[in-house]
Amino acid sequence: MKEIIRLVCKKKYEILGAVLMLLLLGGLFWRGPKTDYEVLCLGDSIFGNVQNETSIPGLLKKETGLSVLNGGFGGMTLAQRNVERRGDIQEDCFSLVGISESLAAGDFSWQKGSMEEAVHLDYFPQTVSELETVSMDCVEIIVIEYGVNDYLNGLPLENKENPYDKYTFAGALRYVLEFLQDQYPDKQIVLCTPTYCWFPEENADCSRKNTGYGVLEDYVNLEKIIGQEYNVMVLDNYHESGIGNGNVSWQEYTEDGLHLNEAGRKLIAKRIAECIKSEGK
Amino acid sequence: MKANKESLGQKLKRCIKGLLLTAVGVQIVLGLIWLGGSFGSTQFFSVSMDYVQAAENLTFHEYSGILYVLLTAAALWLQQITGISYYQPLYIIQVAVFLWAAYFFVCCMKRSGGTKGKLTAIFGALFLCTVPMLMQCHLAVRPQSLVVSVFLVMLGLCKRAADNVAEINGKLWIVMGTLWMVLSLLLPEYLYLGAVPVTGLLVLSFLKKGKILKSGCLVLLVFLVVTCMLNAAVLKPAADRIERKFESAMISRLVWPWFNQSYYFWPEEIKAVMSPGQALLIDADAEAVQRDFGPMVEQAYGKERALQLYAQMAKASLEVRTKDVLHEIWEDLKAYICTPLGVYGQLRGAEQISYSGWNYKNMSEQCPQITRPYVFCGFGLWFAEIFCFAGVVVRRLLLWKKEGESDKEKTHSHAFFWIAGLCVLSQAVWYTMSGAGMMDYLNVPVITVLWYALPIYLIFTPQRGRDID
Repeated sequence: MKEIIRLVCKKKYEILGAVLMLLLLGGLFWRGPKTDYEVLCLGDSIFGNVQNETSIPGLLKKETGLSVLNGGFGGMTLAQRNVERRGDIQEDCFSLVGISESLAAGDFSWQKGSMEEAVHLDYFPQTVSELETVSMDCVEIIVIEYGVNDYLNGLPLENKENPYDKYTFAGALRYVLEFLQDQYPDKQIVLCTPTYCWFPEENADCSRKNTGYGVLEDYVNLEKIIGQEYNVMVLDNYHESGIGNGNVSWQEYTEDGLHLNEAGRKLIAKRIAECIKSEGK
Repeated sequence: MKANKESLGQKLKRCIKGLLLTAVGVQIVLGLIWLGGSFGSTQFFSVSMDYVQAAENLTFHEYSGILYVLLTAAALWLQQITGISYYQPLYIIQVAVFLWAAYFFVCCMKRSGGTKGKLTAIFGALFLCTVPMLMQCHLAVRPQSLVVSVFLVMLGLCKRAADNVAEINGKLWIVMGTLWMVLSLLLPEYLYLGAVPVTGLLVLSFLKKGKILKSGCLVLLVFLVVTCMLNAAVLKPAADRIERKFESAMISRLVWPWFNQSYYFWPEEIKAVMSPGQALLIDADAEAVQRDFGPMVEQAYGKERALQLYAQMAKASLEVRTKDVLHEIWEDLKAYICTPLGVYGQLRGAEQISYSGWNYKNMSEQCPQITRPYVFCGFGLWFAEIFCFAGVVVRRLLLWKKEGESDKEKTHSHAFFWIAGLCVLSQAVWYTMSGAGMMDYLNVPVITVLWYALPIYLIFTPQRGRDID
């Protein structure tokens, strides 16, 4: 013991330096205080492109009284797209696969490093900052809304040889659901299908326009099947929301045939809220 | 009799030593953990896939060079026979070669013998090997790891020659010539970039020891001619990419990402093959210039006319968008000149287009939990180095000012630092001007290794006649 004390006294300046370095390293890793949210909304422009209280997450907060984080990234897909693994195509960092992995690791350096390269909107940096500091211990519900961009970009529906192929819609969805359930077994996951959409300038709609691997309904139906496989709540906004039913015109619930207007957002927010309340949260 | 009291400077020195050694120790441990966790998989760079394809068909082109394709082909052959994944022997070779090169470099820098000297060199080699941006190169199927290893040996030889003129002899020229040739066969652009330390050594030789210069020039000329002949004979233009010329580099640098915005200014021949919609797609992805635009134009008009069109477009872009172009060049140049600072900023969300996010993603794929602490520990160490180095420089300047001209002894051979500085500058300028506005730190491991090695060397190397204080 005396020897140890003598050594410490002899090397006190070196030890001081070591302690300072460890403090500096600790400071580098500290990301600031965590923020508490009860509901985490991950999605595309349907969630993300409106960032105020009239967004779907904002309206959900009003309906449920829960704190809700809007983690939507407009234009992004559920599946990954960079099949050739090119470094100049970096949108995959904002895909649901990329966001889920970063959330679990607590590390959004990929998104930050790719921000300028990936096609991004003004609110992306702020959303990434918020996701980085969210306390996943407080989150009780994860609401996922993706799919329409996978359809619009003509991403493959699935790979029969590899059910977890992250470059297909089904494979990516299976991967993400399994991943999230493994990482957060106590969180409830609510899967929202895309809503019906129109293409007014083409005089077409999603039930007739095949983008390569099917119409939007094919993606929706696959999403429902996979949701059931993983025992998660699936909210079928395509068939059951009323958007796209019968004589409903695109102007009633959407701004441009695809993105929801305030009426459309209220409708979807209410549906999600009812789903959450029915699960007793 | 009481021992002399330690001066403030000596106490500070001990504190700095503890600080830096702790950081280096943490980096080495995290680096070895990351190495272990990532050894069993490959990082998916598109350039790695290009090398594998080239190795499978034994095709050598102006982007790939010769040696690394051969090495990858050997690894693929080994995989066929033994079943060992092709990338693992490559990783072992790359790590082992770098460790040896770094050990050699540290020995050349430190020149202290005995057991303590050897242990310092081993520790130094481990430190340099585990710098995160370099470790990523060692565990990637790309030639940059071997390139930086060879370059380190060259720089080590330059240091020895700068410190002791007697080291400049025929043997040194042969070794430098061989290393230069190896570099050029690994990556064709190192025919020019490798010339910088070689030229530095020639100038040093001229200044210090005139007569050896002639034999040096002769030996190096032989190696240069052999290398050029080999490259000319073996390397072919890449079939699926833009021809690698000055004009095509200018297209990437000066025209991207304004293909669509400046569409009005393009020659009619270009507009005939590229619609505004296509221009928009090219603007979306930096590599589209090389992989889509170039082949499209070359197929339509032939390589010679294509080069003329590239030159016209580059000139037009520079005239029309001078401020934007210069701004982008400056941003990339800054990031390349000081890679640790540039990459740190990019990973924290700085507004600069780069490969840093993608590279980081590849690094974290197999070890997502360890990558962040490891990478940011590397940055933390570098910041600590620079901070301590700045303090040492200020103190030395103050002491020099106080004690006057007579104490202004040149401890370090300044020539070596001039050579190192020119190496950094030449590589930064090269990769800035040949890139399509997307900075990639994996292209410049030489710059990274110097930024980590030199400050720590200067902090711990005493001035003659006085211990560092």
